[in-house]
Amino acid sequence: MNRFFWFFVRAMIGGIFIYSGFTKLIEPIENFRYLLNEYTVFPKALVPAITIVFPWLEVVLGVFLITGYLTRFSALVLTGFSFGFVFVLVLSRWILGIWPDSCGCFGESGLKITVPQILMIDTINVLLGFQLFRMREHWLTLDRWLCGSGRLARKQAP
Amino acid sequence: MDRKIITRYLLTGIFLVGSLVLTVQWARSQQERTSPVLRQDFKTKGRIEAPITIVEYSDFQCPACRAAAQTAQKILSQYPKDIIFVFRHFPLRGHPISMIAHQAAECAAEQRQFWPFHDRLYQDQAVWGVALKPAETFLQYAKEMQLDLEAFAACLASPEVTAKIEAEKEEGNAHAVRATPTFFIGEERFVGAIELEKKGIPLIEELRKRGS
Repeated sequence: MNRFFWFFVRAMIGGIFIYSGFTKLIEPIENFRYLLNEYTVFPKALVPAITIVFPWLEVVLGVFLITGYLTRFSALVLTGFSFGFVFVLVLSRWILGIWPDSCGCFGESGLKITVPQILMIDTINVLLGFQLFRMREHWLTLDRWLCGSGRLARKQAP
Repeated sequence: MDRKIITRYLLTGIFLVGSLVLTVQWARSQQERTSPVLRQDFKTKGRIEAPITIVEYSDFQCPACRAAAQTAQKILSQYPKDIIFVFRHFPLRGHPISMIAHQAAECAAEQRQFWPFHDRLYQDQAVWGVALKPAETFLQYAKEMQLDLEAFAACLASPEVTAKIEAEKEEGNAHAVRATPTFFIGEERFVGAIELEKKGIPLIEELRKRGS
């Protein structure tokens, strides 16, 4: 039961990031750049680079987490993304007094999620993602397959 | 970790990332990326023969669009012979009064008063945006502009007008417009007034030099 639950958690967090990154990647890049510029906490000089790199990281690490490739590393980085996003939103709202119309998390297409909703989702992601990182063993992972199963896998899985 | 495992990891990583890159490239190739086609109606500004067309998808209740209207006007004044400016309705889902404001503007357009009404809507955005009965506010604007009030009121209630606005929004959706204001100069897209000013003006200059 436990392993099914954590596999579901991996699929859920990975799925959210894949969807989020994929919608940004197939949309015109200008849409995401505009949304990032709305969050005034991002240094303007970094926005073009973030616009290009971030969606790819979301998709790649989302797939890594689901397939269990570098599972703990992927969980840690995606937890960091979720935490960073909560931090940026809270900073925008309470320090700079800005509350964007929409989070822009899904490239403004398809799912329309409000900022409070995404805050809740990201907070859950942080808690569950961090727990995934702390766990040494995961069920159905490429890590186990690549390292060989059993004791060796436990020792060598990154 | 021994070398064999590292090699396996590297090959698997390359396979996963490579598959993803191919998938994204394929998905991108399926997306239609064309520029909106100019249709002559009363929502254009500038010379109809002008060689450069700027199309804007805008929402009357969006504060960024209000700011962008000034930028667009500035650009139009800067290049009066070269640009024709086209307005397209794009009322956002998150702005509840926006749709009726677009309907009112469309009704003003039917009486050839789109641009004065457009300017008034942006100018008084903070007023009608919080009005309990926005339709009454728009009727008042129409009265002040000496429009035919009976025709205006009938138009405001017309489902055909709503359908026309929805069709323009759908056209925007088909061009992957997701935020307002989004401008197009040819196939180039500029989201927000800052982008239009920073990147659109150099493009206009370049197009003028090329004589297109």
